[in-house]
Amino acid sequence: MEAGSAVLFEIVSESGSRSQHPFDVRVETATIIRYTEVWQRAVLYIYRTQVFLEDPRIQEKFTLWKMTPHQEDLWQLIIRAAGEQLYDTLEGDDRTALNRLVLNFLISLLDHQLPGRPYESPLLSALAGMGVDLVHDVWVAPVMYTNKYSAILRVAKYLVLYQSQLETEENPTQGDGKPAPYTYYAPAE
Amino acid sequence: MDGIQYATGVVSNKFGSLEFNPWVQRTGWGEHFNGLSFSTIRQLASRDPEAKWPDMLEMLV
Repeated sequence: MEAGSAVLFEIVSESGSRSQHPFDVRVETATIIRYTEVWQRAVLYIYRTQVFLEDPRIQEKFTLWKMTPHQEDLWQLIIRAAGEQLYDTLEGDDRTALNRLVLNFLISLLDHQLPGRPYESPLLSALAGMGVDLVHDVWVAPVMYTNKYSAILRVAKYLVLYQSQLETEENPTQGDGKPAPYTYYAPAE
Repeated sequence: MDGIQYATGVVSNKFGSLEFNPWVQRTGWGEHFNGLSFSTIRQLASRDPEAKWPDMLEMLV
C-alpha cells in the first residue's frame, strides 16, 4: 500500500505540533494479531450492548453509551449490508462495500466528541469493559491493562492511514484540479 | 464476590491475589457499569463471537 508522506507525519503528530518523524508502519506479525484482537473485542462489545440497548425497557433505565448520529447511520448501513450472511460468503462488490462501511464506522468511533461523560463514547466504554479480569471478579491491574490502549491506538493509526489511502484513490484530485493533499508521489528512480 | 461496587478499587496482582489500587477508582469504571456484574461485563467484552450472551435484563433488577 502506498501512503502519502504527509499523512505519515500527521498520524503521529500531537495536537498543535508536528512530529519530526513519520509513523513507522512496521510491526511484528504476532503483535498486530494481538492488537487486532483488542479491536475485535471492542466491536463485539459494541455490537452486544447495542442489541440490548435497543430494548426500550433497558433504555429507560440504563445508558452505557450513546452513538453519534453519524455512527448510528453507519451502524444501520452495516447491519443492512451484512444482513444474515456470514462475512466469508460475501463476494466482490458486496464484500468491498461492507469493508468500507466498517472502516468508516471504526473511524467514526475515533472521531467522537465528548462534551459530556467520557464513557458516552462506545469505544471508551468498550475499553472500560476490557478492564475486567478474565478470571477473577476484579478489575485488572494497570500493568496488565495499558497494552489495550497501545493496541487501540496503534491499530487506529493503521485505520486512519488506510482511510486516507482509500480517499486518495477515490478522489485523486481536488476540485481546483490540484492533487489531493495526501497524494503520494514516488520519487523518480 | 460479584458486587462490582465492592471491588471498585480492587485489582488482582500477578499472583492472583487481590490488592487495593486507587487507579481503578479514578477510571470511573465502577460508576460506569453500576448495576452490571463482572460476569456480565466479561461476557459483553468477550472476543469469542459464539460466547454465551449475558442476561442483560439483570440491568432492570
